Amino acid sequence: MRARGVVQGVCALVLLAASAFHAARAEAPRPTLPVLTHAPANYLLGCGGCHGIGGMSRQGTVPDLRGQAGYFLCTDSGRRYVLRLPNVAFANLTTPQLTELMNYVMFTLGAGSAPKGARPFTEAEVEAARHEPFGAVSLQAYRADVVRDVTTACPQAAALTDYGAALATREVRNTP
Amino acid sequence: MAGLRKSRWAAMAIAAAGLSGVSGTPSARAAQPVLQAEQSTVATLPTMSSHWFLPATGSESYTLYNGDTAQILGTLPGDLISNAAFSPDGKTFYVAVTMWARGDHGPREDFLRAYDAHTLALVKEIELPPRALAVYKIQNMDLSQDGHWAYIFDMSPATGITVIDLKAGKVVRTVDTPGCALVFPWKSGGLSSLCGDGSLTNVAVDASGAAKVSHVAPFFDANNDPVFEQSPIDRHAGIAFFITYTGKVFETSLGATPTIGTPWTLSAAAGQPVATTGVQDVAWRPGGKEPFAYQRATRQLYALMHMGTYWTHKREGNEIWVYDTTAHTLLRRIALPADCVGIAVSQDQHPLLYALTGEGKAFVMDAASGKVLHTIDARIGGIALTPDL
Repeated sequence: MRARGVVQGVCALVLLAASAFHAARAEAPRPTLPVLTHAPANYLLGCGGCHGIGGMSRQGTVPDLRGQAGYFLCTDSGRRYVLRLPNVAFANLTTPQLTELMNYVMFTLGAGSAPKGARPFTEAEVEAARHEPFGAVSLQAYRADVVRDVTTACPQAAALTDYGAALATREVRNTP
Repeated sequence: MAGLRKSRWAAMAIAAAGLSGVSGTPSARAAQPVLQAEQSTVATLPTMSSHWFLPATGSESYTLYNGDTAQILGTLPGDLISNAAFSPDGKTFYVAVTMWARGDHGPREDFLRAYDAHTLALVKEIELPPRALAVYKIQNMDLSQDGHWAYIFDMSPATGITVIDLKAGKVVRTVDTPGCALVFPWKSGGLSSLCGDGSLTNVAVDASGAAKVSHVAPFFDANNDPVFEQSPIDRHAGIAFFITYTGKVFETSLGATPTIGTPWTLSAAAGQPVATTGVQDVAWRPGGKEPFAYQRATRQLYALMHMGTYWTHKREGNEIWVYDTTAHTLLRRIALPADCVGIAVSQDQHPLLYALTGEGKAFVMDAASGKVLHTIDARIGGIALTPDL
């Protein structure tokens, strides 16, 4: 009985200490944590690991998105190219979520790169393209064609060629 | 302090006595045996046996063991991001290596090392384009059955395959496999790669090294019940057993147009309730770092099993279940002496079964009875390769 009394006493002390701790915590100002909306959160979870949390990663190894992604909206083939990339098309997201994500990448991460008057992606456009992911193609060669058209239509997009040029130095006879 | 000084003096006194002893007693010196000069030799290994196995050991090597005796035969350098493979004729070991000039930074080099299987001498190094650096998976690299080609998975992070002509000792091409990963070699003439939409990309490689890529329709649900990247293969027959996290087995005859069999399920074949994707559904499931092994001579599939919910596919197993892949039935359950993360099996008529703990041990077992023949405790990693002679 006496032992139980001691145990109860200790428990009471712990509780007191705990409530004092909680009181101190309640009085401290709450830290303000950033709250991410859906598109940036999905970007961080699904893309940021390689492309970098701000759309910049290892240059020449991973394409830069910051200030560049929107260039692909210069041509119809460019618009379609970014949606057919396997890691875009296969994303474990609904089509509305994926549409929101891709518009975030084009217009927010890629701020300043989308041509004047470029239309945001529509859900119908994303839905159609994600059913035709790139499969049996040389992605490097396909990208080079798309980038050639984009830089012809929008000369300011010249930086898009850097990634393909760097890739070509590492790969061996990667032709269709 | 005084004690320490005293003991130092004592040590010096003993040393002095020793010296005078050597110089002062010629009769004692004459009684000493004449030391023979050591003859050093370089040993060579016998012809490769099906009972050899090659586990990753520590963080800087693979160690070659004789499974019959549990004795070490040799060591191959290879760190955590290397990949190893036996040549189909048993005459060469290949290790794909990546290193940086200054250890963890600086100019990067990727190359494929070839070691002679008799002498373990490094005989060739083939320069490679940057390969994928990922957690060790056997199917990051594999060879064609004729020993002519090596296929290495790349991720730049765009995914592709490097095709290496082992006879010429050079890379012949990069083949893009958009959205697909790893290398599952065919019986001859190419390889397939697992894709993020639940399909396969198939890469035919002809005698000149030219590649032709085809694609099949998705056959598994990559988002909800994906297949293990560690799915086992029969290299001689060109058959892959793609096994999902819930234990659905898709026996697939690989080729330019693969034949994908109707799936059967590990739990149902064992007379157990079918494991589902439920996060609270406790059932017997496969799991671990290298949870499967296929035994070609007996057409038996070995699966490392544990009780758990969906998404416990990396958990260690406490039993190995052995299946007849023709009848789709459970043949036997082998209880393990300790939880294990990886398994491997030899490919002969009297197979040895290897089970590896996450803490450095390997159990060498008789595959038919499950009897433990040897326990090796020597910084064994969770992965082991066996020759497929």
